[in-house]
Amino acid sequence: MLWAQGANPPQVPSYIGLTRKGMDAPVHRHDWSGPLRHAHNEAVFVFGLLYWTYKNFISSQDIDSCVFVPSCSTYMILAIQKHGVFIGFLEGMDRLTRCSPFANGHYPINPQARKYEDPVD
Amino acid sequence: MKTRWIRRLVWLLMLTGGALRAQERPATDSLSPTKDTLRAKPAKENLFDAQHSRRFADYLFRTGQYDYATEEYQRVAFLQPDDAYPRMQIVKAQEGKKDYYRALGYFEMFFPRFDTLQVPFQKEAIKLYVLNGEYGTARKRLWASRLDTTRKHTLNLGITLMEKKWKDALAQYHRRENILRDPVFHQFGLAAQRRLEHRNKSPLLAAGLSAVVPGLGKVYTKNYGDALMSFLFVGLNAWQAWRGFRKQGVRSVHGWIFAGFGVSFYLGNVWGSAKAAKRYNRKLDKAATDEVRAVFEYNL
Repeated sequence: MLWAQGANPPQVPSYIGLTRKGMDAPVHRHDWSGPLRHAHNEAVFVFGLLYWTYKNFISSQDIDSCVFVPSCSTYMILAIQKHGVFIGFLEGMDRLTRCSPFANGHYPINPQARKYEDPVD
Repeated sequence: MKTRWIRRLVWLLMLTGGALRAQERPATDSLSPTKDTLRAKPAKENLFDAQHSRRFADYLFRTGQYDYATEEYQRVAFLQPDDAYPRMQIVKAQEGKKDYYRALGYFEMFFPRFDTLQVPFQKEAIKLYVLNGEYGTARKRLWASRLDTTRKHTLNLGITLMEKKWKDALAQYHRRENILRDPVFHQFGLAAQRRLEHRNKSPLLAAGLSAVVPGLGKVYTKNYGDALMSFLFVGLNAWQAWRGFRKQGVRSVHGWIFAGFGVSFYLGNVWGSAKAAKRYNRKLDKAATDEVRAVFEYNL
């Protein structure tokens, strides 16, 4: 049994953002380039680029409609990073078919996001 | 006239009395206490002594303020190094926070020699090993402990269930079903029986079924909504691809795009059906182990 002496590091808010004038809530400026910067091969880089494009130019124009957390696009890129391009892609396609109101009752609910929780295995 | 004299007399008495009292006071113009004042007014109670700290720590623990309680129990443990109570309460405060990893860490630090511990402490150690998933160590400690035989067999059955060895657990239960009277032993036995009443789903069979008819593997794993969506996704894409190829032959871009999507959804569904079967089995396991885990957490 390992024993880590000392407390956990303090929780620092992870968002980077500007404060809109007259509003208290910070504006979230997400950085979607993580998969691009951390791609370990060319195929993952290509998928990272697709993900970055989708998140910046397509998904950002739409409402947050995915029933899961993490969202389907994030799930696919995480699966690709974890299991490789082929298996990760299949997992992502399967997730797209599961992303429907029929998911009700099959997954635990994430209370913060108020969505079904389905992390990458 | 008389009233005026009486008033003067009262004033005189008051002034004289004040002057006399002022003489009794030590002649100092600083606020720092002298030896005399310290001797005259000793401190009645020290709010930070072990007894007060312990009472306050108990209050913090009772009200669920486990972090503050831990700090206060640390003070008590420092002031009373021979008392095991504050150390045990520190462990229990971590359990209150559901931080079983840290609780076990504290336990091993405070009580390093298992064989010299009293029975409740040994039970606590076994509980923490189980909740941390260290089943081998938990079993070793269990048989080395001074718990009574009934309790040992009950906890051993619980550990077998936590290891998800359902058949072994049921065999253990049937071996001592009529001998042991511990209700928790029977609760564990019933949990094993209930788990084995539900058959596991085969991931291979689920994938095979989905390969034949898209979505059928998900019907097998009882995800009917997902099955319908998979069938529609694959079917509609295949139909669109067929339309494109029928109109323009193999040079149809429309056809190839939809064929690509269709094949992707088809393969994803085959893979996903196998995963759905595994998820189904995991869900059944979790339902059974949660029941056992709750006994270890709250009812041991």
